[in-house]
Amino acid sequence: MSHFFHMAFRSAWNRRLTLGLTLVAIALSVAMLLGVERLRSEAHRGFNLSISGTDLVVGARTSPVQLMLYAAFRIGEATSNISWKSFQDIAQNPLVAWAVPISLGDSHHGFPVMGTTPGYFEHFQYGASRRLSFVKGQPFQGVFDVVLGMEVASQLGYAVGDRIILSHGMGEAGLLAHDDKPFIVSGILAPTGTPVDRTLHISLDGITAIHLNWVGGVPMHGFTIPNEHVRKFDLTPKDITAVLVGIKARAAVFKVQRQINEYKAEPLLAVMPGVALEQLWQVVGVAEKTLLAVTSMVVFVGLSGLAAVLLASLNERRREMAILRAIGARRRDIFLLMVSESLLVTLGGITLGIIFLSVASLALAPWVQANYGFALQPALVSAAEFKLLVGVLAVGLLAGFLPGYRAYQMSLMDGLMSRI
Amino acid sequence: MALAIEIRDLRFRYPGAAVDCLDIELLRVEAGARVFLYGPSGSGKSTLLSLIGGVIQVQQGTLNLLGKNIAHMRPTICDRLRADHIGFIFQQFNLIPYLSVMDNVLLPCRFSSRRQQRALAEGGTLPETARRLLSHLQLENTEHIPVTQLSVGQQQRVAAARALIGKPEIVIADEPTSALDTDRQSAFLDLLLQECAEANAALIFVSHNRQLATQFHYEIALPSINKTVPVGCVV
Repeated sequence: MSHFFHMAFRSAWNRRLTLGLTLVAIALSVAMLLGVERLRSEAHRGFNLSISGTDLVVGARTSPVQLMLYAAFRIGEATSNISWKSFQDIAQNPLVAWAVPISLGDSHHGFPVMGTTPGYFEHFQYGASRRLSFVKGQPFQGVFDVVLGMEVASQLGYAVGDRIILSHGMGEAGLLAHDDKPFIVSGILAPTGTPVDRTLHISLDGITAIHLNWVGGVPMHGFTIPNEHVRKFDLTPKDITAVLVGIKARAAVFKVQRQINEYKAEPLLAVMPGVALEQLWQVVGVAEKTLLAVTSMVVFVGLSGLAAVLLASLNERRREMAILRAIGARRRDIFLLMVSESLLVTLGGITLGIIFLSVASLALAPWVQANYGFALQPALVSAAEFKLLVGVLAVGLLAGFLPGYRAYQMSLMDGLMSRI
Repeated sequence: MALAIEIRDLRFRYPGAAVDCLDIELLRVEAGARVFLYGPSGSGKSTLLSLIGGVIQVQQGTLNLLGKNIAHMRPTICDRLRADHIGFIFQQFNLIPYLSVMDNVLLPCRFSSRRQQRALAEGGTLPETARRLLSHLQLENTEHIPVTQLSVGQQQRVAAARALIGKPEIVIADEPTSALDTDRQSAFLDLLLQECAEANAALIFVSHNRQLATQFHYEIALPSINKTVPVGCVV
């Protein structure tokens, strides 16, 4: 059998240009198919690992998915805030173990700035119950201390002790700068592979302080408050964006959730991260399935091209088939010759497609991490991807059946006709 | 004397044709015989050869190949018999263009373990046997040349080496010289006859050039043994 595949390979190599182009087309379609699947699974994995140990996320009433997106993943912005009084009430609930307020809205070179309390570094968990740790420095202590996520520090080249100017609002350019109140880097967090890496953490007092002389989203003209004087003001925030809550006994989660959702003073929403994520996957599931269907069609088109190329090659190979038949090849061998060629090209396409995808995901990983907050792990082939590849191979095999059957018929008709 | 081929009351008609292509009462080829088969084009030569090779199936009558009636054998068994016992040489374009001279010559040994064993029994490895055959056919030092760079005459001799490797009992040559000029025709024929004699193979040599018939044991004119009017043989 080995000499048979050897011959199939030599024959295919003889027509390497047409088959090569077909192979590249199949490779690209396979890379697309796997890419969609990989983005899907990596997004699920990345988001699911981004937050753990937090029982409830509380914010102003909105959709659970939106609350999760901005509070946990820094995607999108809050439509409204919740009052400091509400936070205090939540924190004082006897069933609540800990409550960490977070305040979003400012940024630094496109990285989000988050105001919080030192409790954040104590209670926030990600992945399999992993806690934040510092590679350098310590949590913020002063009003103008800032703790950087690993990626912020490495991309912008900051070290502990550096001075940083924050910007008002989110975005890359055209933002007003809080240039009257520079911050000092007090610590840098170890990498987590979550949105934490891209966040600048400052105290809630700091958030209040940089907005002391601001009214309606712009600084008051000609009025600045020097850094050393901000302590004279009451820096307790009036409102915050969201609260991360830990419950003493897991069984009480639903009770606390209900209490918060029925809070009278203002409309609040408490969601369990897992449940909200499940909703998110349901929403995007339709899009995922559509994308998968479209890319499957692209693969199908590629493999149809293969069948067409093999069919078109039959006429020029008629002589070759007749010679092989004369030497003793069975009609089955002629059929197998075509099928093994289509398998060969499909396998080559799959291999090249995996290489394409690996190169592309290596190249795109920083961009995905920057824009969508999850890490594309370099990996060969996952179990789900393997299933897709088996499907591709099966269709590739089928693509060889049609030309194989034609060749079989032709060898029957031609006999030993020596003058083709 | 043992018979290489024996045909009795053989009839063959192509599907959809109005008349038979072949209707042969008796045709015998003894083992080791050199037979010149003559017939104008369209007289059913290729059909007869395809039937003997078991590439197309006998519809009626008896076709004994080395004593075995292949008339109602399963196609795969016919294929095996062909691989084991018959070497073919065609008019031209005999070689697989993407294989080397050596690989082309050794091809029958890949399809038939019997041919492989017989080639090995001559002593040495398969390439050595092939090289010996090639040198007998005056094709020294050609084994690594792409077959497409060989002259037509050289290609026909490579085809002869391929037909002869592993000493099959029957060699069928279907107008192997018609693409050659007159000088090369007789040179090729001499080499082919010599090697067939050495392998003790029966040779059925098909041609419409009757001048070549002199070196054969006997001549068969297909129109004289084919009782049908051969209009149904054009596929």
